[in-house]
Amino acid sequence: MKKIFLSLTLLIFSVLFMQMPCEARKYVLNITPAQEINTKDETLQKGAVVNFTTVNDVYVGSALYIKKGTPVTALVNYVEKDAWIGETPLLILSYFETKDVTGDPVVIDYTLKIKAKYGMSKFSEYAKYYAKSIIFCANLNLKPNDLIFNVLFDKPSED
Amino acid sequence: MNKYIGLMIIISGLCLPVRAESIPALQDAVEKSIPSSVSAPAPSSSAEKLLKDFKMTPLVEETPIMEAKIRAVAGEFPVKVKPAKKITTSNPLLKEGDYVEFEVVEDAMITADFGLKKGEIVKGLVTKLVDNGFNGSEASIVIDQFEITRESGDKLYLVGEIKRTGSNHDKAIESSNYILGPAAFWIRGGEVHFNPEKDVFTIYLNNIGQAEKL
Repeated sequence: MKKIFLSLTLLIFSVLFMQMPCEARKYVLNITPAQEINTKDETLQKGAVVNFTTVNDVYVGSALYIKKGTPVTALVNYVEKDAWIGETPLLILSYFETKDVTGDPVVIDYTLKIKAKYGMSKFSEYAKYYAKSIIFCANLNLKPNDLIFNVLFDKPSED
Repeated sequence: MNKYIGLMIIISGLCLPVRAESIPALQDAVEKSIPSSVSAPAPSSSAEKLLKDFKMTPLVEETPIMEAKIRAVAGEFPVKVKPAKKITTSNPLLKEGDYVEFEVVEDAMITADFGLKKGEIVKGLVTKLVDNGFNGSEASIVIDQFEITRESGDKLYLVGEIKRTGSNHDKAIESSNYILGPAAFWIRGGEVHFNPEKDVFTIYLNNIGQAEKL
C-alpha cells in the first residue's frame, strides 16, 4: 500500500512539474480619472464609487483583452483629507470593475494609493504644495485626464 | 520498491524533452546552427580504443551549443544586466506598474545567431513599491517580469526578481532615542537606489515556448 501511495505521489509531482506554468504574470491597466476627484468633497467617503477610463488597449498574450476608453469604476476604501504639515492627503481605492472586449465584467482586486504629491517632480511644485499646506490644509484634487494610474492584475482565467 | 522509484525518475526525465518541444523559436535556431555531423561520430578503431580506456566517455559528443540549449530550456541561461539609468524610490514619478529599463552588460548568446547582445535594453515591471516614511519606515521595491522587445516585434521573456529594501536607520534612531528621546520619530527610513555604475544583477532566459503563451 505504501509503495503504491509513494508511486502515485511521485507520479503526481512529476506531472505537475512538467505542466507547471511560469510564475503568475501581472498585467497593467492604465487608467485616468473620468471625473474630478477632490478629498474636500463630502461625498467622497469610504464606499463611494469613482469613475475612471482606460488609457491604452490591454493585451493578454496577443489577444486584445480591454479596449482603450472603457469605463472603470473603483471603490473608495479610505480617505484622508485636510492634511497639515508632515501629513499627506491620501485616497485608497480598491475593487476595480470594467468590461472586456466581449462585454463581460472584469473585476480587479488591487489597492491603489493616491497621494497628493503623486506626479510632482519639480521643486517648485513641492514648494507650492508645502506652502499651501501650512496655511490651508492640503487636499487631493485630481482633474479628468490629468494623471495616469497603474492597476495591476493577474492573468485572467480562460473560462 | 526500487523499480517504482526508477519508473518515476524515468517519467521525470521525460519532462525535459517535452519542454524542449514547446520552444519552436529556440529549437529552429539551434537546429540550424548544429551541423548534422555532430550527432553520430563515425566508428573507428581509435574511437573504440578511447571507449575501452575511458568508460565514461559519452558516445554522442556534447557540443557547447547543445549544452547551452539545455540550460536555456531549463531556465538557467544567465544574463547580466545593469540599470540603464539611475532608479530610485525617491523619484515621485516612479510607481507600481511602471516599466524600468536595464541594459545587458555582456553578450549572452545561446547560439551564434540567437541570444542577447551587450547593450540591449531589457524592461522590468515594478510589481511592488513601498514608500519610505517617518520613524525609520524604509522604502522597498520589487522588479520582475523582464522582457525584451526586438525590432521585429518579437518578445523575449526573462526570469528573475530584483528586490531591494532601504535602510531602516536603526542606529540613527537608537542614538536619537538615547540623546533626544521621542525625537527619533522624525527620522525617515531609507530610499532604495539602483546605480548603473555599480549594480549588476543576474536574470535568466526563460523557457521561451511557455512564456510566449502567457
